[in-house]
Formats: sequence, C-alpha cells, structure tokens
Amino acid sequence: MVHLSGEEKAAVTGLWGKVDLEKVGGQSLGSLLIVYPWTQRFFDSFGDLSSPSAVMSNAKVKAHGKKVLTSFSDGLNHLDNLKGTFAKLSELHCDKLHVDPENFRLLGNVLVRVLACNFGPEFTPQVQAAFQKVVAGVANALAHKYH
Amino acid sequence: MSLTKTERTIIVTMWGKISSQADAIGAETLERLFLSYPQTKTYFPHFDLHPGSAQLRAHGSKVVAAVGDAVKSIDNVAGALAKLSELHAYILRVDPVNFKLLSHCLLVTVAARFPAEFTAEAHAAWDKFLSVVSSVLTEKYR
Repeated sequence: MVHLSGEEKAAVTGLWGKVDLEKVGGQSLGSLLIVYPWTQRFFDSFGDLSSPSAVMSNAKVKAHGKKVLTSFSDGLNHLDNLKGTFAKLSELHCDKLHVDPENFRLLGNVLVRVLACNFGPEFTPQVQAAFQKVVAGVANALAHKYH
Repeated sequence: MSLTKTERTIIVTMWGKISSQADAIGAETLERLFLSYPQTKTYFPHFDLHPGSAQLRAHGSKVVAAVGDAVKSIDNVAGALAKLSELHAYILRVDPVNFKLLSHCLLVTVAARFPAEFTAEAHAAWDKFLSVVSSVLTEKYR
C-alpha cells in the first residue's frame, strides 16, 4: 500500500490529469530502451530499435508505451490497493513475460524524468517525492505475485 | 563502461548551458534527494536541511562543481576525482546505493530546467556519465 498524504494525492492526480498518455507513454518506454539498452531484450518483435531515432519513431514502441501508461493510470485510481489492482498483471509478467522486476523500477524512474521534462518547474521536489512513492508502489505491486 | 565520443560531446556541450545555473541546480538536486529519499538525510545530521539553507546551497554548489570537474576532464574522470574518491572511501563512506539516488535527482533537475536539451540521447549520455562518476567515487571502498 502506498501512503500518500491528501496533499500528495492531490498533487499526483492533478498533474496526471494533464498527461498525454500516448506521448508520455511513448517517451517513457522509448527512453527506457535507449538509456538502458539491455531492456530491449523483451522486445525482439518490435522491429527497428537500432538507434535513438529509430526507437522514438517506432510505432510499436509508442503503442506499447501508451498501453503501459494506461495501466499505470489504473493504478493511480486505486492507490489503496495496488497489489490487488496489479495482481493479474504481476502473474503475467512473471509466468509469461519473464520480466525481472528490476525493470519496473527502471521504468518508474524514467517516467519520473520524462514527467520532469514535460512539466518543468511544475514538477516540484514535492510532486516528485509523491510520484516516487507511486512508482515504487506500482513496481512492488507488479513484483508481488512473483514466485 | 566508457563513454563514446558522441556521448562526451553531448555532455560537454550540455554542460556549457547547464553550468550557468550550477548553484541553483545543486540546491534543487539536494532538495529533491532529501524529499524523495529521506534516508539520505542520515548523512547530514550536522546540517540545516531546510530548503534554501546556506549550508544546503553551499553543499549543492560543491557537488555540482565536482561534476563540472569531471566534465572538464571527461577523458580522465578517475584522475580528476581521485581525491574525492579517497574522501568517500575512507572518510565519508556513503553507501554506494546513494550515488544512484543522487544521480537520478540531478537528472530530474536537469530535465525540468532544460527540457529541450534533455533528449533521449542526452538522457542516455548523462545517465551513463553519472554512472561513471559514481563508479570512480566508490572505486576504493574495498
């Protein structure tokens, strides 16, 4: 469970309401694949990931980025029960996708940096701190069903 | 892990722009670090950690200046930071996990202040560079 104060919850939902899921999703997943190239190991079927420009313009990366952030959005609506919300996805990532949970932490931090880039001064230290709690909570929830 | 020529160029060029806000960046980075990762405050019991405190500003400047030194000697970061490496190993003994946290907060600060420059490529170069700096600073730990 994530423990956010009323203020932190308001800050997170307030900012998230302005997020373009497709744009930020594509930027986040794309940046993950570029900054931590070993994460490309999960995306052999995505086609050309050979350069930063190839990754950022890749349609499959954008589509998948949007999918991931939409799911993340769901989590934001259920901050009191992230483990329940992500239980099925956790099983999927363990049993079918075989993703090391460390990757959830990497993506969470990349998302934070992308939000900073998109929102500038509005992404204050306080807002960041709230989001760090959220991304950590989501990462833990996604790892919860691993066995 | 070593930086490619392209990565070095990106970093040196961006530093030219960033360094004009060095002090503010240092203070903001530390503020972000202490808010997001409160456990890092355990290394500063002797500091006034209120945002805007003189000690925070001074320390932030020190940290960013050291990053700047590494940029200026980007072909020999180990040489440039040798003294700091010893300081961290024998005196400060900051747990290595904290270098990742500080690096992340510095990247967030730079991204927020220089969004146009913070392309995915620049992000990658800086993440790698700060990783090199962190390695150098923890090299002598054991």
